Amino acid sequence: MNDQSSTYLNSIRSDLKTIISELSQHFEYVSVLATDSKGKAFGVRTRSMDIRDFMGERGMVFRALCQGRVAEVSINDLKLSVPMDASQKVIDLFRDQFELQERFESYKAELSDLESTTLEVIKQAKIPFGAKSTEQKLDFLSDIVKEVGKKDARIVNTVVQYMEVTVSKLFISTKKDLLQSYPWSQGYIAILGKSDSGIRMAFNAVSGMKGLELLDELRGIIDESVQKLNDTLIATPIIPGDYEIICTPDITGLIAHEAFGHGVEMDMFVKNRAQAPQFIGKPVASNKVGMHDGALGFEQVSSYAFDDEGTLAHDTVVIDNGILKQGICDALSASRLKTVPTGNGKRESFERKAYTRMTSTYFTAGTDKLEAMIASVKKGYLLDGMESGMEDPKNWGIQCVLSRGYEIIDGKLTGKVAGPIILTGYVIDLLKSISMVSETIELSGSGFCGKGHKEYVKTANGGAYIKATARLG
Amino acid sequence: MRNIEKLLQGYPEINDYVIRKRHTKSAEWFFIAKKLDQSRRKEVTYTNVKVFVDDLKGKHRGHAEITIYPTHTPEEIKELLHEAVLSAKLIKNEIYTLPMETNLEFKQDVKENIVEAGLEIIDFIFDSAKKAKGEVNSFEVFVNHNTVEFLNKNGLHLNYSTQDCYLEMIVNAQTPTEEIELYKEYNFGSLNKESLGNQFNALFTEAKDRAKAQPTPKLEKADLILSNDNVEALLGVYENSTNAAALYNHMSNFTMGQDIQEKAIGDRIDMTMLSALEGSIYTSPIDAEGVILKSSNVIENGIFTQAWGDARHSFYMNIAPTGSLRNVSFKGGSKSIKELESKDALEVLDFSSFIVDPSTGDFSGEIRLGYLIKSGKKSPVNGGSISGNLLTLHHQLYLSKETQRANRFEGPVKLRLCGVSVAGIQ
Repeated sequence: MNDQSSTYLNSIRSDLKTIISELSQHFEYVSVLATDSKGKAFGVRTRSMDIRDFMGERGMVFRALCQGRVAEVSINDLKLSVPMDASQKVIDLFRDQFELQERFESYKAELSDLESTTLEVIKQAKIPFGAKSTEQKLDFLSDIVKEVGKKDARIVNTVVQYMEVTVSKLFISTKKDLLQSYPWSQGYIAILGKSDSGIRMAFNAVSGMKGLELLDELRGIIDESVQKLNDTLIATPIIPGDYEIICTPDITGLIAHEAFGHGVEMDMFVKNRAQAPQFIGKPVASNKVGMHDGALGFEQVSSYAFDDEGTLAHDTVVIDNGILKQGICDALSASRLKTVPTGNGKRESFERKAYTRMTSTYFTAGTDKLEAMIASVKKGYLLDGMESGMEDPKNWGIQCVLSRGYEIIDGKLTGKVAGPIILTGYVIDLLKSISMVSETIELSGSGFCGKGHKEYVKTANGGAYIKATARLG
Repeated sequence: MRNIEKLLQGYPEINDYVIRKRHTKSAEWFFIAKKLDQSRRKEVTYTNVKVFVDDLKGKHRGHAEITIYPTHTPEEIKELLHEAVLSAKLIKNEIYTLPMETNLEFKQDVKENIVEAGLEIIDFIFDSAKKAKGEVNSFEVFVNHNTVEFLNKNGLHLNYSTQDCYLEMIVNAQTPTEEIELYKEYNFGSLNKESLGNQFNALFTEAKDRAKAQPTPKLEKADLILSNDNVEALLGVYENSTNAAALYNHMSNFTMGQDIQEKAIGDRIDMTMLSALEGSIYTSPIDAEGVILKSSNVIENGIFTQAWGDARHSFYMNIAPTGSLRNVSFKGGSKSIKELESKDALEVLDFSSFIVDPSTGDFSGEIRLGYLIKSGKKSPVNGGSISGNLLTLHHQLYLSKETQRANRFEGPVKLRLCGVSVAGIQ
């Protein structure tokens, strides 16, 4: 796959500027985001294989403001050969909407680009996606499947997936002309095993703003993945209750994301769907907790130069020493809240609305050693294996589903495993209970994040090992 | 599409192909309480092409699928098709064939009225909230009109259109100290005011009950009662576990002919996968590969009688392909809702997110709104969580006699599962 910048976007850049110039004669603000992202997923299982398109898109979304009202048009078959005809089609789709909008009272917004910005960021992978042929990639994955299959007789199916994506986006408004292109990739090994209690699955993943170098990382997690399957197969149901917990960076990231990340998405402030505004400047976690979000913070699957509304990427300090400092914000919400956007306006694709979304969200490092953290636990679990999570910013509940908990009694791992586990509680209680934080942080971005139950985008989460108390069931 | 077909015919090594073109027009509205946040329009066209190539020995079949955008140049399309053929040659799956079915008469021409349909839904939401004295925090309305053209190598050629609606709704209620919210989403073909109105009324009532809820007590084990969409989510384990692909890939705990509810003392499952269901957004008569959909009785009185699935995995499992069915019907059970609720139980109406693993049967969820039923009295509770495994508990599963129909699902309104773990708060 070609990981260079998009020929298509470069070919339409001039025409889009003409169209934006024409549209700006009719509306107080206009912009367009054009996308041309390409991706492939290569999958090999014990008994089958496939190749499919993955996260590819090519289209454009126009945004216009008229007397403060906001409308958008997503389109992928706009004929640009005659820019004036294209402009007229978009104008008609906007006019129709603005006429209908008069039936309703509207939330007004004001968007203006104060400064002219031109930016072109083309990131290359260390090893480009094109450095291996499709056949070589399939062979590589097939070898992993075979190697895994030999390691445990209880394995009934191994699924190895490798996905590679080149994102290319062009944003144009009357004052902005931004182009970016970057690669990211992810891979996972999912192993299904059968025991007396039935089918169980262990999942292990790698990801990053990377090219084919990720394949070696994927091969490097084979033994760890097989061990995770073994631990999952021997796991027994947990006795529900409150426990001391130590979270692996994977689970720390899930908590950062679900417990607080969603709670500081400021489009939820506009809707009065979050408690966070009442806590700005106040303690929301123990003083050992720091939290960041930003596309600039780390090079992961959601790192970019500008967001889908043309706002340059930030690194936002959300929590510092346990104090809530600020939220993250898209451009429209920032306008309505009279604040500045933080580069978090993201769309599932050009077809969808922009919402405030997380990028790389993580708890900062502490000073504790993992061994000392385990030794400090009287009765609890070391939690591992992120499965899913759900936010409730309005009432600050949290739900995290995990694969496994390794039992710790009197400071020692007993070898017993519980699972699957659901972690629930009140966010502030959970974050204030964090008493130890380890020295190094890790981020992973193999999953997708939804807004409610839709609008899936790539995000990365992580942090250090943390010790806390939580309700497990 | 005919141009793409012509290009495909230039590759003699292609054994099968399917081409599906979909044009979607949509109108979308986003409201915060009574004020419009923004509106959107969408016009997109996609052409999906899937090619199948058999190896020379006839032992393996590979496939690859690509998406062609309207702005792809003829050269780009040629390159994409060429890559797809090369990829399909590299994929070494066990050989299988697609059914040679071309005899299908299907006419469905739904008039496009995305704007009018959307406005009707918006008015209905405001009217319903006013009548129920409910408080709407925010909602999103999507109305899509799809025009589909399908053709395959066997000569099956269809043109049809559909319209579907999606609604996301968040409602509030006030407690003495705070405001709480509940979240629901709805999918439907066209607006059924009676059905949606009843669901809205229930949602507003639930929100008010959540505002009065007390922390879930520490029960450790309880009988769990689920309703509506959570019933559909849990019973989805049976759909997944009887699918030919799950069986072939060892991702199911079931085998055909098995009594899946051995030693059951509760209700036995009867499940039929359906080619069509009134009100469902899944109205296509064929699946993505052109297999004409056929309804199939899959589980009868707790016995897994017949798997269902796409052409490929049905071929592997030596069963007649039903196509990738999306609609499902479960028979109601032996007890009325009143009887299900007559004994002590924890009834959960709303979770933060009800998570069900369709392969293992594991389920769990944080309780946003539940009712503790004790000695015939129902008290609202929230917080804490429930968890369990359907396949280890379904010998004591009871389904309501009363049934519901919601989008793709027809089945009991409520179910009761005995011995579920509860992580309560106090």
